Amino acid sequence: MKTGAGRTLTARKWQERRLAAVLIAPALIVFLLFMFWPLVYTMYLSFFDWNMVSPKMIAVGFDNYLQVMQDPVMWQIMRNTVVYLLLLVFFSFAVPYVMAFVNTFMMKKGKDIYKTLLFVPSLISLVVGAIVLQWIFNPLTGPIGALAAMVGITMPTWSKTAGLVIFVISLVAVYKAFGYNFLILLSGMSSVSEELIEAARLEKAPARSIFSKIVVPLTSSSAVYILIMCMVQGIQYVFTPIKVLTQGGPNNASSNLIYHAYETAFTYYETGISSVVSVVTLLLFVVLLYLEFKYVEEEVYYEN
Amino acid sequence: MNFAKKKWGAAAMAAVLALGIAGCGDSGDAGKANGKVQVTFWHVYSENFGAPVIKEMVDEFNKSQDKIEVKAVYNPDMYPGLMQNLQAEVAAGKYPSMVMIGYNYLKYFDQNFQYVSPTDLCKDVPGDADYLTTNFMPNILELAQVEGRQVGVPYSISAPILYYNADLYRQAGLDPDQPPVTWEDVRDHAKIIKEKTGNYGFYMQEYQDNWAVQGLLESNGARMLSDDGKTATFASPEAAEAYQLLRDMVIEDKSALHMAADEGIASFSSGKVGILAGTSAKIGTISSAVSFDLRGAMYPTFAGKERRLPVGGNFIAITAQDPEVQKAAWEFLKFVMKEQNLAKWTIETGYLPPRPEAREDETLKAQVAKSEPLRAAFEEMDTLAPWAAFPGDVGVRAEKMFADARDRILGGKATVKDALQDAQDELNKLLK
Repeated sequence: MKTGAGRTLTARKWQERRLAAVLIAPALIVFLLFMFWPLVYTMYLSFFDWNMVSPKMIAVGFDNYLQVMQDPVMWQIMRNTVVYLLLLVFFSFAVPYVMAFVNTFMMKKGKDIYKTLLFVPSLISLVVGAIVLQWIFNPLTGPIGALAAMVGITMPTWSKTAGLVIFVISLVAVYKAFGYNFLILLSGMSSVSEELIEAARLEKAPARSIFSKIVVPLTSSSAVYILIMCMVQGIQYVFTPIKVLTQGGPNNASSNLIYHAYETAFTYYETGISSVVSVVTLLLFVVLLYLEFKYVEEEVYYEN
Repeated sequence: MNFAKKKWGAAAMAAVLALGIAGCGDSGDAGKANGKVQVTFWHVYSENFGAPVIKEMVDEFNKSQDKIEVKAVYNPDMYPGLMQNLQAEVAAGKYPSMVMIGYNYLKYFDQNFQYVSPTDLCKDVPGDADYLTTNFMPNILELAQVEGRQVGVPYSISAPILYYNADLYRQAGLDPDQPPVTWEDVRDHAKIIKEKTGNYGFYMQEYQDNWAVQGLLESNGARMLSDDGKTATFASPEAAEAYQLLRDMVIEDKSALHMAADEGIASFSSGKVGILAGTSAKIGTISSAVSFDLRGAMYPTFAGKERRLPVGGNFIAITAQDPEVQKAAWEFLKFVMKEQNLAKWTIETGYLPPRPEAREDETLKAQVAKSEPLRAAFEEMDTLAPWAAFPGDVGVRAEKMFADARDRILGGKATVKDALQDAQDELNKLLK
């Protein structure tokens, strides 16, 4: 039953909802068009054999999936991807985390200089950074090789060595992400109440306890954000140095799911296979997201 | 600010944004603008590798007449990069007017893209009936043919050559005027350089393709493809023997470098490697980068066997769909093929000209006299054979497979025989 007051409320609610729909519409349309639709189309393409130009698209059912799952290269690539993610988490999440802590709570002088120095490299473009690092790491003509030679060690050819190549390529992504991650974690640290730290210091708590028992829990919201970003963004950053420096070599040792999906689509024109690889990548990250929700979210402290 | 102002302000901003986004649209379509026919010319050359000459040619052509306007478009990442961009453009329903295609993409391009054959244009344009036959040698024209069909006009021709560092030679006690002639010589010289100077003696360029290695294998009598071009045949004893020599230099003698192409070539240019087996297309860049006595020599043979080298480089195809643009592109193509322009291109890059007349150009003659690597490349022109173009969609994958096999062999992870056999089996499976 609608009283006079009830009718106005409903009408206003209606108006509010319509306004909300109109305001969300642009972002929603962009999202549907550029994120959701390509995703659905990719899944659709994974059931076809198509070289992207020819008008013939042959439906092959689950053949592409079987082919990908039975390909030993695919398993190598999945292992590589895990290694990349571990390196990225360590170097562009754990290290900046610790350094942000040191910078906020343990340094007395030169804080700002460090902040600037650590941030500036992330302004350099990935392509330039990749080429510069390639020069730095050249075993014959680069500075690191020269230093190693002085000490009597021959520097290995990283571009042709299976584990090392992933390490050097990750460094390119790390230098790019480090500054931003460091800054966000730093700002998270500054929201930790000084009194807590002082109280802990009065009780002679060692630095690592202050870190693990006070700072980490209180900055966990920034930390979780950066953890997820460093994985997602990092694995995308890593694509550029792979493309510029090694093109997935030597013998797929530096390739990962992202690069493999690109390569199968745009170098081999095997659209169906590439779509399968993309779907697998999606599943991997869904699993990671699930793990995050299950084990991490509960521990996170959100200030409001 | 009252509400009315805000509204107008917002509307103005929206209009500006919309214009900006519309302006981002690519005018890949060649059509007519300001009365002139627009021709887009897709190439793969960057600022420090050929782009200035292209710009010069385009400007000169545009100034010399007022019916056609040519626009050069750079595609990074060489032939693979251009092919990817072409794919995207065609998928969007547009075609550039003329494109440079690497010889290894010849069959793939012929099968999947619409182009107009130069022979047809010769027939349609008055006075050009014999253009191709009078200006080009038959074996050169063949480089851009598929089953007798002329797909494009050969443009840049590169050959694998040897560059070597005369200073390192002298340091190692070798005579810089006696470059290696056979692959066995290369092995000996490389060993001596390594022993006497501590620097690496040899490096063969390692791009993600098999070009340089093909020159090594086919000069020992091996063949990448069967005569009908349908089966891979490179897992032969001759190929294994040739590849074994390279492998032994890297793994046993440790006199040869195993490194990615850019790094390896940079190492040679910095004087850390004695001999470089690389493309003549880099003569320009390497000559300007080195500070030592640079010499050149022909790609080695195997004692008693015939030299057979894959030709690298590209041809120009006309992909415009509109007949008027096709004719305009043809005019520009003929301009590019003029002797003096071909000579300029050779001097700047080290690519060999597809027309023998270009060799008579005076500036080019002077350059050839100065540059030993360039002389060596010219001497090899009669021994050039097609770069093995695997049919259809397999072509690109094949190059990658070879590069992987090479990494496995030179990294010591597989024997030559196994790596070649595996690659051949996998390739033949794909070819079915």
